[in-house]
Amino acid sequence: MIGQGAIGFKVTAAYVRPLRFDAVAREDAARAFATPDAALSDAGYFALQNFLMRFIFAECVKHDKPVQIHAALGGPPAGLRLADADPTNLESVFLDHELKRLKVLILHTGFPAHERAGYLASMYANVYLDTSYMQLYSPTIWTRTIREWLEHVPVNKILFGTDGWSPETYYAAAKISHCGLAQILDDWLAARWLTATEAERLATQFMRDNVRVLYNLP
Amino acid sequence: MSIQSFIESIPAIDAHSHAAHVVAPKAAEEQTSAPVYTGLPGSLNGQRAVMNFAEVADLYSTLPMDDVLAIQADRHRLAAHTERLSYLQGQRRHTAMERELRDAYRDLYGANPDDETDVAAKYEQAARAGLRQMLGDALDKANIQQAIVMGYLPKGLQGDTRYLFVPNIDPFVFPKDNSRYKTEGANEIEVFDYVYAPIWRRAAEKHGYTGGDFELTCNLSRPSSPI
Repeated sequence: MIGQGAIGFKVTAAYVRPLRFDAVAREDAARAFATPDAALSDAGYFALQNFLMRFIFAECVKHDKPVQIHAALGGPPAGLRLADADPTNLESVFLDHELKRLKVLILHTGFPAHERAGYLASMYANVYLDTSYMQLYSPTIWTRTIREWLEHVPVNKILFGTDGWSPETYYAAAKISHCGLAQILDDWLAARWLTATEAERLATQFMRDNVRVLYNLP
Repeated sequence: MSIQSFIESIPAIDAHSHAAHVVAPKAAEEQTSAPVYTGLPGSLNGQRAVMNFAEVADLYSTLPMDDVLAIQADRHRLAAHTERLSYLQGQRRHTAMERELRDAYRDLYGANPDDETDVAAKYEQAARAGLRQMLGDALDKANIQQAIVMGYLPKGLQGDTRYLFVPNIDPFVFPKDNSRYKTEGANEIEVFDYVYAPIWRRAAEKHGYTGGDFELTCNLSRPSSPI
């Protein structure tokens, strides 16, 4: 897929299982894979998934490709359970020495665990935060979240995104993001927390440069 | 220059999105005699195709028009759309999303969001230009220079450097029978089973595998879920 132009990968597993991808021995995964479907236990399948996910994560490290992980709100009828989707489930991956260079982008602010997502991004060098969809869900929550993150998360970790699925949603999400970020920076300029030059630099990083750096774009 | 003007002037890169598929219902009707599902009335008209499902985007992009229309007319799917419409236009009528989408119909297509007929007509007019043009125009107005698109890149956008692709890896992590994950609504894993079935089949053929694990099926008429 990389040869065909993929610049990263996405994980949506939170819709059907917890995001705990603990290490699994190869022989245990092989045993699960060889087991006929009808005889494979949930635990056995879970272990196989963990092994495969970590194998792919290691490939992502090798090729320097980031991984987007849905670790946030989602439709309960579609299977998502909040405890399963909580980004703190990913800590065993973040703590794994072999995966310490895996770039992980937590999608949709991690809401409603956005505070924990921000903490993870501030504590782990390889964790980044995507801000898509939440501005459409609630501009108030989006702006509050970005404001809080900018106080304790490195600026280069926070990325603009829309989650656009139609021309109108791309447009609306961008518009809300412009307004929300302007509110924050206007307040900080008024309080003299930063200079106009610093505000413009921060805005440019958020809207464009952070994404470019994370995905190694020209 | 105000800080907001400055922010609006930055050519942005969108870290996460789904691309889109657009359907011009009247244009589709001109191509076939089959009944066309004309979508949702009012300001949410453009969301008629449940565009955030890669499954649907894939179907629209690869199937003959008659098949697309047959799927659109699927009763289960129609019921799901109706339920969605009722939800959005009922108790959540004044959500930020609806408010902003109404503005988007005005700003992008010049439609009066309070006039359902005008919205449908202006949307039809814009959609006839095709996906690449219609979405490109919206991104221009939003000043989004590039969009990173996940899951599925519709054929109409492939080869355009404005859209960068991020595929799902889950299908390779769930190689066994996934019926244990079935829920009341179609979930992502079911979508993967459909979208990536050809990949698994090619792998099976390449490696001479004849076991049952690769016998993934896609039932186009299965019940679907709301967005």
